[in-house]
Amino acid sequence: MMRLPVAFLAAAFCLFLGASSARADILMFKDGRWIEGKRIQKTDKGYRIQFENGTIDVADDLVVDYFQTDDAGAWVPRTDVEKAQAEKGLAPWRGKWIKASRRQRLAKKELEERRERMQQWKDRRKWVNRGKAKSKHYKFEHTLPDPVFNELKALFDNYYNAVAKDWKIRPSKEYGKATVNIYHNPEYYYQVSGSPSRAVGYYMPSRRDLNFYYDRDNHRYTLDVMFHEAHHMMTHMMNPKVSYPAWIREGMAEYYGASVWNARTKKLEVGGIQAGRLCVLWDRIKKDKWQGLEDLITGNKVDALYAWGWSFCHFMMSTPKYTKKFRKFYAALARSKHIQRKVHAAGRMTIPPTEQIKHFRKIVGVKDLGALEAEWHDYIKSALALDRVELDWSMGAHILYIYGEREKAREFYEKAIAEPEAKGMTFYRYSKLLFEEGKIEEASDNADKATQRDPLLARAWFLLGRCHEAKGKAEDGLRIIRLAGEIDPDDENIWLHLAEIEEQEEGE
Amino acid sequence: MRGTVMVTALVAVMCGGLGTVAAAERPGPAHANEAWGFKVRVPAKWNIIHMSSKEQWIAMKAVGPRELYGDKGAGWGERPEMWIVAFPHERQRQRGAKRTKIDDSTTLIEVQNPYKDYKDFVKREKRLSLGDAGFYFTKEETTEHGGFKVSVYEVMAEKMVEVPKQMVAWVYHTEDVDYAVQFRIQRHHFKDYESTFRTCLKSFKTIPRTKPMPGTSTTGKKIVDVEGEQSLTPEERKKKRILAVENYLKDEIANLPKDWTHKQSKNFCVMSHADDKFTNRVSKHAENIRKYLEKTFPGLGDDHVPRGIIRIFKDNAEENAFREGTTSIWFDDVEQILISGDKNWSRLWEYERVSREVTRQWLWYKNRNLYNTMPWWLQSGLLDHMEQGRPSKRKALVFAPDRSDVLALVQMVRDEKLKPIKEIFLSEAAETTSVDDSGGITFTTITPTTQAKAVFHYLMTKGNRGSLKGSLQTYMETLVTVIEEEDKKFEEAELARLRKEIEEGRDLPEDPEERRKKIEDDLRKAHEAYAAALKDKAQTIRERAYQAAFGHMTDKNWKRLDKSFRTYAEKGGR
Repeated sequence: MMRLPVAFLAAAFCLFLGASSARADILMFKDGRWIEGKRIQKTDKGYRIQFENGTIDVADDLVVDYFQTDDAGAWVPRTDVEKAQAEKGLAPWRGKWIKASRRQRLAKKELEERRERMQQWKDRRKWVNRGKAKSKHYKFEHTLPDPVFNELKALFDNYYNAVAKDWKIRPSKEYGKATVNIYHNPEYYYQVSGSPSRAVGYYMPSRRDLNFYYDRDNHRYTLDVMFHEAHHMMTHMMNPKVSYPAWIREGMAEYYGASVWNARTKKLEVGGIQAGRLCVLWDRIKKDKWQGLEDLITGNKVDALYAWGWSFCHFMMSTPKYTKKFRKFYAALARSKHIQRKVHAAGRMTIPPTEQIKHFRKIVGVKDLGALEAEWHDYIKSALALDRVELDWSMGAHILYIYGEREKAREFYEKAIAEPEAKGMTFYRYSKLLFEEGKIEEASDNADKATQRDPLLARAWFLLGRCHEAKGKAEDGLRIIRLAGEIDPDDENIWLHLAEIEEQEEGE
Repeated sequence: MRGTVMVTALVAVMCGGLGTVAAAERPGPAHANEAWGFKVRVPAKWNIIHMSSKEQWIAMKAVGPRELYGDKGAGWGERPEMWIVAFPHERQRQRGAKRTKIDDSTTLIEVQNPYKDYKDFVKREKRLSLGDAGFYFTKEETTEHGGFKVSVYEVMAEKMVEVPKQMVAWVYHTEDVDYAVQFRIQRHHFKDYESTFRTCLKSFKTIPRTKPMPGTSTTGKKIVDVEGEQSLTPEERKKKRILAVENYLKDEIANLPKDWTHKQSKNFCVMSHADDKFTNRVSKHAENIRKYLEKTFPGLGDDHVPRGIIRIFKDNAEENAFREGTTSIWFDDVEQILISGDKNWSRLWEYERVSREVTRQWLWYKNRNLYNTMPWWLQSGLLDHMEQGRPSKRKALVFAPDRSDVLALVQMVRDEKLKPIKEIFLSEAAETTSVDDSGGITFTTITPTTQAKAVFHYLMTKGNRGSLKGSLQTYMETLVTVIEEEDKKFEEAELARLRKEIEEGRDLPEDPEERRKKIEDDLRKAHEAYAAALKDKAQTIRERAYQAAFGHMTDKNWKRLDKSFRTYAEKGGR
């Protein structure tokens, strides 16, 4: 009988132990999602994730953290260098080589902590377990994972501080503390906040309650909505008793919604372009439906209030001869004792249109509103011309699609996907439009590109699967749809579709 | 003396204390439902609501006896409610669309999309129990009770709501049906009622079913295809309508609780939970309205108006509880008339509602085309005029403008906002106004103008003389003919256009991309042409009817009319 060396026996035992432990790799993404329990492999350009129904490659720039281990905390060497170190009984930990047994203990503990944290984030998705945080003038309640929340909170704080300083806003004791509520997805936002279906965010002055959701597929849009609603909150802080007229309230909120926080200069950059609003504007202009200024202020005949209101505020805030005076007018609406206000609802006051016009003329120094209107329209034609501004074609296309302007939306999508930085979501949305129009080949092509640009966009995989179904490739389609369900287990549409397929198969 | 004063003061304090704090109702006796097969205790003095026989999911509703208010009296008063919602397992296995041909002209399409469970019900029917409020679950647990597995839920509604609400539900999972026993109350009062709720929740038992379990349809979403009705002769339509109403009423009357009455008059069936005096008054008033319409507008069509249905609830809370069901209260596209006999609620308002709805129902059946196509000012003017009809001591029906409308009209005169009447008659649509509520949300609404309503009323009363006598009736009768003629022309034109397209075919390019663009372009042009044709048709109808009724009026006549209307308006329509 041969006697095997003890070391070999010991190694075999460890390997046996290692082989029986499940993979516990955790890959965490910048948008707050994570994947665990799948086979994950590091590649040159990122990570390869093995699902039951397929493999996806995810680029490095989407990932914020990768933790590779198994349930027991053991590390498996892969390269020659790693294998050589393993022979010496060493394993990597936080950039250093330490004893494998110590690494195993530390990794196991780290794994438990991460799992606990992830479980906490999962539990937090129910409002009853929501996360809470406080600032000096407001508090937060949210259902987000920490990395996402911390980023949004920091941006909110920076925005608040910049705007409060700029407009000299110091909330009174009467105002109290607002609550900023952030939800992890739109469905939950609509359910818990009770928001009307067309509102993607709202601020309720009577309750000092601000609500919006994190759109993980569109980070910029999330910030847009956050800054917009924050602006309402801050305007309210200027005088809690005053309800601003809709045209300037929404116009300025849209103006500030397009702000960008420059982390390098630590400054809030304002005056950005609201792509969606601009598209709506140009659509009206194409039909020669220009908005009159006096009608905008009086509210007598207003179509597309947000778009026209934004463009007028943009004009006034960006035109040097008017900026200071317009800002003075805006502040006066809340603060001036000379403006007559009348009781509105819920104990607040509003400013009658005649009074607005009177003080607008006086403060801004405008005798002829008609002439100012002409200047404003000229500004739109020149400074806000579609070919002059740096337009977010994708956002514009999306807004036009929502408004039912499919022809124009298609035109914008063509421009958007031609850009080198075009995102997966853009390709997906265009694909959806094409699919709805029965253009399956084109839809399939764009859905495929969407999955390449954003492999984690489950909806794109889902749509790709449906394109395959429509082309008669049912089996391929089903596999891809199942993959979509693995990537995003929370997407009900995918599971409903799969359930319908199963029912049909059972029926057959 | 001092002792007497002290005792008196103590008694006063005690009485004041008892008077201001009303205790929560204790658990009352059990209520049994033999159709659904359960028995459960209901809080004492709570009113069991009569549900429609068509209700398929809500097995029972009970409403508290008094309004409760939020903290420090906040919000509108609201009564707590108890519901039993049943989820038959067999029903949940059904899914899809089911088509049933009822007769030659009617196809029933039932959308089968049953609620998965209680949570699904709460989400999908949020409006019924929570209105516009946002909500979330604060508790989701399982336990066992009475031999059943029980899921326990608590729900909180805190946002977009005047006063926060709370719900607690125990879902009993029995062999063939899941029963959700649910309480809803303002959060402020939950603690006071918690013990009563718990006793009632725990009291749930199943009992043998001695009646058929309600319905097989699932979400109550039915689409009855009645377009075919228009292809029937008036006599056939009459028979069909009579049969439909009588069949419906048969079920509803059989389903009425013992403390409800029902009364058949010439043209109405009134089911009532109010006192006889009010019930008789409502019945009489409905008949008077109907008589007035038949007499005043005789030439509006030949179609049969079937018996109308009026339900009178004991109070507003009961009415709202009935409305909040999973089944639509609309019957054959015409809403049942629902009112409350609550002494605390303005009974004047109920007369207005009866007048308006009887008118709407009558016109809907009399001439559907006219109802759908009449100009905006005419429809709102007619309904508003009828709404103002009410009985007086000496007359069956008198018409007096609403006080708020009177004030608004007088203000319009002062603000120089009256429009020439001819302009109103020929205008395409009412004005749009932007309404900005204090919550920062802006709505744009189309509002019938005060003047249009007042003009109609004027021409039916003070202005109904001389060359304008009967002008509105003439206008409406002419509209009937004009609409029929223009509809026919429009259909023939559309048919001819389609025929031409089929015969001529289309020259489509070979290139697929060009072909696609041409097809899209043609479709877009066809839609635009159709929309423009519809708009032209509406314009032609307006002008032709106007010409027939008012064509004899000169500019001088119009000026005189505007002047006399202005005088009438200055005096508030008196």
